[in-house]
Amino acid sequence: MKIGIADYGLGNLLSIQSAFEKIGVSTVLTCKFSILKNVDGVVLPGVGAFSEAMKSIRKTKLDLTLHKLVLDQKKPLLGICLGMQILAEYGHENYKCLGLGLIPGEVIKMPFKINRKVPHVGWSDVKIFESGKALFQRSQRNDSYYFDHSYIVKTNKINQAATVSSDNEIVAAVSHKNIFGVQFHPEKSQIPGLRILKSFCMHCDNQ
Amino acid sequence: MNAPRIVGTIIVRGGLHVQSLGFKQYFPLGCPVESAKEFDRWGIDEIALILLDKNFKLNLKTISEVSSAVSVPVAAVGGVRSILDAKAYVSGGADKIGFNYSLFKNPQMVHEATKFFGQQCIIASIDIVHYKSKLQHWNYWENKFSQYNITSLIDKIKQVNVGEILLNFPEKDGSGTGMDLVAIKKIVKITQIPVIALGGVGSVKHIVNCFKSANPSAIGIGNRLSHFEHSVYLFKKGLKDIGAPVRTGVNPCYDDSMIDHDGRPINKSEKELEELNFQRIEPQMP
Repeated sequence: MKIGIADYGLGNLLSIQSAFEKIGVSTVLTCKFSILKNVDGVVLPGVGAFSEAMKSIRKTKLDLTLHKLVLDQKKPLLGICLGMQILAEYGHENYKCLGLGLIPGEVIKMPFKINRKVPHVGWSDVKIFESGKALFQRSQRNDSYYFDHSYIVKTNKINQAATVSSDNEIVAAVSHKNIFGVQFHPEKSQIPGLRILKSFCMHCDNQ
Repeated sequence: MNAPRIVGTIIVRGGLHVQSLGFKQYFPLGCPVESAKEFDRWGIDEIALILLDKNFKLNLKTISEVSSAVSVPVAAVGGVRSILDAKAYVSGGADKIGFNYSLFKNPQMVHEATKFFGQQCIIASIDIVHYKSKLQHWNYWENKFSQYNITSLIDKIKQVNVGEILLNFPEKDGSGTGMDLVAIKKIVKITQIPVIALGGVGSVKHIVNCFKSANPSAIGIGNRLSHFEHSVYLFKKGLKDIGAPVRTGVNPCYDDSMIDHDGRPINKSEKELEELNFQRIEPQMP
């Protein structure tokens, strides 16, 4: 079992690597198709702004690589935080720009609401839907995860795998065929987070 | 609503975790990585590294060691003067970066950083002191009051578009006499940005009071967490007892223990301990 972590120069790769180490899964850091075609699943991390991330992705030709891996070879993909947001078709951070288009929907600024602090930062419980069964298969009741974002993914109901329990406008996880994404940081959410990564690995194993 | 966060603050000076008193005196406590590991194990919600080192290379090593050892978010504050520094911090493993000096000397650069890393990645770290019964911003690099009062300071921070505000109170730092509730309340009221309040926590009562009256998004605890074992659990038990939402799914907990006036758990009776002998406690599995 080997997980490929897409490295395009952005994101906190070290902690994702050490999280997989904790559940006994070996990882490889790369953006090359020749290496990624041999792994069991791909993780797309991301820290930063939507537009900056897409810029670096295009520079490293990771967009073409991911399309080949995910759409042609049907490899499971897990986007983390910004990595989930760039799966969408459009983003509006800094300026409107194209995403990877792997999941229908767009990324918008969190609308203003009374009692809502922007950015959404902290530990939140999530409400899991039917399509989130695979990703949350090992999760237990009361598991909460660490969120830190000011933009949210807007997608149709079928692709929502989970939402934040106290604010159902915030999509916590998305799922579409072999493509998954989580808005929170599983690598920064202690044991509940590791359960998500383990579920993803189990899903990759079953493929 | 999110559960209020407890942020473990580790002040690093000369590569050592130190206890700080009023930003003037420092006592060594030990290795920052070991402290961070303990906090992580005891169920902390976040770790803030405040780096007082002048040697930039040393900072980077501490950040990457701490970040790979723990599984909670790590914020690094101190020593960031350019976008390049910030990039080095992030690729070293910091999830958030705090600016203080640059916020006033080079706000354009901080604004660029929020565009590059996203708003959620940038923290404004500010020091507040009481001056003639008013709240004033403290300029630490020149050791004097700056021209900003609370309102103009928050306006300035809003312009830069940061994601969080880390409030520090030099007068309260290391005193353990309770938090500056008046100031925290005032700032939380006038801004939508999440606030982390720091300085002055000496007992569970102090954070309970702070959450009750001022309700910041997070409270930073420095010295007090390093004074006794399982300190994070005990602080969280205090919050739970007043009915505040705390992060669930963290084991072990002291839900069924009595706490003495020092904030430490009281020994269970012989009979209870005897019964515990025959209980199997399942470890948490990922």
